[in-house]
Amino acid sequence: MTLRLTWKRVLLGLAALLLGGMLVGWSGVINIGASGGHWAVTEWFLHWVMRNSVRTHALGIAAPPLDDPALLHRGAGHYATGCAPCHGAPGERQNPIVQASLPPPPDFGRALDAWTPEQLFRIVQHGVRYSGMPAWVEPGRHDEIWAMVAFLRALPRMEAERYRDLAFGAAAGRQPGSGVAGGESLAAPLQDMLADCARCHGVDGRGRENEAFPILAGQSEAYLHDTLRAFSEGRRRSGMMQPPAARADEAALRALAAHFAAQAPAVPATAAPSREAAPGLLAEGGRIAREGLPAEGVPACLSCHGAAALARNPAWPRLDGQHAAYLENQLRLWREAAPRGGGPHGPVMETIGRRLPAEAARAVSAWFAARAPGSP
Amino acid sequence: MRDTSGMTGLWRAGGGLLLLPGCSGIQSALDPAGFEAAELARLFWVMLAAGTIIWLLMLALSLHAARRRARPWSPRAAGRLILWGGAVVPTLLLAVLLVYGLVLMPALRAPGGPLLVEVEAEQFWWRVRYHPPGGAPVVSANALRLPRGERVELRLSARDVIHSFWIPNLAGKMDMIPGRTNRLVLEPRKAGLYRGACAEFCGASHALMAFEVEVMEPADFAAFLAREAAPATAAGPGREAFLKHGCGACHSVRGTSARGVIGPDLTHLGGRRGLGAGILENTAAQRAAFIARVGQIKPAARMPDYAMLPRGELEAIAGWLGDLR
Repeated sequence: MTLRLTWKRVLLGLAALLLGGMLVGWSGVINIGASGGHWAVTEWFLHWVMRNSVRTHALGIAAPPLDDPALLHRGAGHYATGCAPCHGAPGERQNPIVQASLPPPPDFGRALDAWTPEQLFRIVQHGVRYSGMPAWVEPGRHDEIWAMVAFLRALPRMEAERYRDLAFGAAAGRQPGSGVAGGESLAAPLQDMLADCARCHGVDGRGRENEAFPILAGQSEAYLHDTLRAFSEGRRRSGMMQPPAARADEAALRALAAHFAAQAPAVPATAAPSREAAPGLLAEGGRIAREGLPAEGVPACLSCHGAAALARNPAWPRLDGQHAAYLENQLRLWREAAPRGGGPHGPVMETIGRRLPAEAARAVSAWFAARAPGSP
Repeated sequence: MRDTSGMTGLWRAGGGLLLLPGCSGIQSALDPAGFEAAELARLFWVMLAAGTIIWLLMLALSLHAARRRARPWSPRAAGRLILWGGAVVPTLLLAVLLVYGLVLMPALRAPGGPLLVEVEAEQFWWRVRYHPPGGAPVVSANALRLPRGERVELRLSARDVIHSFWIPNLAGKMDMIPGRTNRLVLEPRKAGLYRGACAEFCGASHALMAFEVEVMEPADFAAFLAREAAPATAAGPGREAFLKHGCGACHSVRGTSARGVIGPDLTHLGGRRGLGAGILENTAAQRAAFIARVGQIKPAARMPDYAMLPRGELEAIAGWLGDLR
C-alpha cells in the first residue's frame, strides 16, 4: 500500500505536528529544571551556536590599545561587584549556588576561554541569550566595556593578591559592618556603601593611582547629589556607575554626596602625567577656557566652570585639577551621537559638547587638569 | 434692493481680487516705503502694463487671423508680417523695456550716507552692528532701526550657510554669503514699522527667521541710537538668576558681567517688539516659554532648552529681560 503525498495531507501533517507540540508543552511533562544539565548533544549544539555567533558578530569590531593600566583598575572595580558573584575571581571560590545554574557560568578564578578582545567585547556588550549572561547596562559606553575587556585579558594570569589590590584597594579584607577610616561620621549601613565607593574613588574622594577614576573631593554637594541621582535613575549613562547608584536610596545618595563634598581636593601635584602636556597645548586650552570658540558656538568654559561662576551656582562640576583623561573622555561622550546623559543641567553641556572638536577637547582637558583647585 | 446688494457683493468680490490684501502692509514689495522699493515697484508696474498690452495685442491678432480673415495670406504679405511682427517690433519693445530697467540701476547703486550698518546672519537670527559716523559701534540683534530720508549702507554677511536679506517695503533681496560681504543701500522715505525676513532657505527654522524694521524720524533715530549704545541699568533678582545660570556665557548684556558673543546681544531686549528673531510677541510669558522650550518653538536653534530652571527664577529672568529697554 502506498500513501500519495498531496498538499492537503502535508498541511494536515504539519498542523498535527504543531498541535502535538503544543499539547506536549501544555501537559507540563517537559523538565525545565536546571538540575541534571543538558544532554551532551544539546550542550554541544548550544555552545557551537554561541561560539559561531560571537565569532561572526565580532567581525566588525576593532579593539583600541588596551595597555593603559587605568583600564585594569576600572575593569577590576566593576568586576568585583558586577561579575565576580557569578564568575568567581582569583583567590575567591565560585559560589556553589551559581554553579548549580544551567549553564553554569565559567569560573574565571580558574580559567578563561581564549577569546579575542573583540569577541570578549561582543559578549560583554550584548550578553548571551538563554544563558543568564546579561548585556552591559549601557551598551553605548564602549570605553567602559573595553576597560572590562582589558581586565578580562589580564585575569587568567592574575595572582589573588594583585586582584584584591586592583578591585578593593585599601578596603581589601574589610568585613561588612566594620567601620571605614575617614567615614566615621556615617551610620553603619552607609559606611558599607561608602566602602563600596571607596574601592575606586577612595574614602577621601581622590581616586586611585593611574588616574583611573575621577576625583570627587571638592565637588559641590549639589553637583554630586544631582549626578548620583542621575546615575541611580539611569539619566546619566554608565554601566559601571548606574548599578552602585541604584543600590543606594535617596538618603544614602545625599549622605555620600555630602561626604565627598567635604573632602579636601587634591592639588594637581599628584596628577603628574597631565602636567607634562606640551606648553602649546596648555596655552591653547587656556585660551578656549577663557574665550571659548565663538566660531563653533562654544562659550568660554570658565563662564560656568570658573571659580566665580561656581561660587554663584554650585550645580556645575569643578574641573580644576581633575584628571585630563577623564575630562577628555567625558567630552568625547558629549560629542558622540548617543546622548551621554547627566543631571538636570546636562542639556546645556550636551549642546556645547557636541560642538567642541576633539583637539580642542584635548587642550582644555589638559589645561583644567594642570590647574590648582579654585584658581580664578 | 436685492439686486443692488447682489451687485455690491459681486463688486466686493471683484474688488477683493483686484486689491489683494497681501499687496499692502508691513511685508509687501507693492507697498513701497523707500526709494529702492518704489523704483522696483514702478519697474514692476511698467513691465506688467507693457506685458498686458502686448498680450492683448497678440490675442486680438490671433482672433483676427482665426475669425475675420478667410482668404489665405500671400507669401509676400506673410513674410512681411513675420519680419515686422515677429522680429523688428518685439526687438524694439524689449530693447526699450531693457533700457528702461537698466537706467534704474545707477540710482539703486548710489553710495550710502555716513551711517553704516553691518548685518550678519546665522541660523536663525541676525547680528546688527550700527556704525554711526564718528561714534563707537553699537551692537544689537534681530531688529533694525533706520532714519527716514537718509541713504544707509548695509554690509551683509553670513556665518554659517547662505541666507538672504529682504525688507520688501524698502528694497530688493540681497544674498548673505559666508566669506563675502555684500552691500545694499537703502533710502527709507516713509516712517513706520516693517518686517524683514530671510529669503533663502537656510535650515530647519528658515521660516522662523525674521526681524522687525522701524523707520524713524532722524531725531528719533539719534535718540534711539544713544539709548541702544548705553549699558543696561535694570537690576533685580532676574539679573542675579540670569548670571547664576550662565546665560552670560553666550549672551551679552552690557552693564553686567554677561559678555557672551555666541547668541544675540540682549542689552536692550525689552525695547524690541519681537522675540526669537521676529517670531513671537515680546511678552514676559513668551520670553519664559522661549527660554524653557526653545527647541520646540524654534527647531534646530542653537540654544539649549532651559527647562530645568526653577519656575521662580525663570519668571524673574523673563521679567528682567523685559525691563532692558
